[in-house]
Amino acid sequence: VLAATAGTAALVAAGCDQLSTGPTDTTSSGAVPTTEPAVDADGELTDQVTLALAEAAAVAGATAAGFAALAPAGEEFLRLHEAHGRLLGGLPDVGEPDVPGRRKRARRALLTTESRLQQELVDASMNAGSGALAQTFAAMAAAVAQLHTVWSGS
Amino acid sequence: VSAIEALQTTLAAEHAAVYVYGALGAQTSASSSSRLYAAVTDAYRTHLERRDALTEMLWAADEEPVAAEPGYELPRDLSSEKAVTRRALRLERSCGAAYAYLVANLTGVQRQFGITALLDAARRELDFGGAPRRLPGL
Repeated sequence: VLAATAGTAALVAAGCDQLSTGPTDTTSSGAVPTTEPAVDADGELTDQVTLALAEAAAVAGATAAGFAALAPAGEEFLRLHEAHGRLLGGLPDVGEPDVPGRRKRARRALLTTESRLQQELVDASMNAGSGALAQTFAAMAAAVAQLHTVWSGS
Repeated sequence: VSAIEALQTTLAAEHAAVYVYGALGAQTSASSSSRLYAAVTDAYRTHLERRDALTEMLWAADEEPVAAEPGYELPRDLSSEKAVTRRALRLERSCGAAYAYLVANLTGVQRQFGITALLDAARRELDFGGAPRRLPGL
């Protein structure tokens, strides 16, 4: 994903509706080239994001392990955060999180953690110096938003 | 890519989205497929607002906003609920990509606008039968 390039001309010609469908479109995304070097501040930002991902992943994993009824949600969030972490070079180790002892509270804590992570990703996107990194953080936030929508309604 | 080019590109995308959603709405019945009708109507209104917001941003920058095309390509067959849903899902995925592009090329409040629109498009995919993805928009 991070190596994809933008189809600007195709976008202008056909609108977003045709962005990923035209035969002349060599990409499947709106991603921009990432050959630009990340500015120093972006390294620090990435460290903050990977830590936030690791903490959310720990909560998701502990929730899945502690409550069978919450396992599908917890495991799906965990897989997402691990995948995002791999894109950023891996997740750091974090300690065992405190998970509430009751299922309803644990579910609420899981969703609150995910909402907080989503906002952290949005903030990181806003603050990224590199456009490509901003785009990646925003896409990660969008992925969290999708899963949150799915599991908050269940 | 300049910020103005990115805004113009996204506006062109929204012109197309408004046109296509208008066509999808005309194929959807409020009585026989109320959920789909509501989702399409809501999406249409949202894309209208975004088109207008992008137009305002360009006016504010003393730029002439790109005009809509006289028409946009539509699928031959939109007669079924399934076809409308599939088309709407494709549209939201594509618009998500357009906004990811905007995010990469703008800063400040305009980037915030792009992020908000990308998140909305990602959630809206679910309304049209889409499954959660690892990186919506990319």
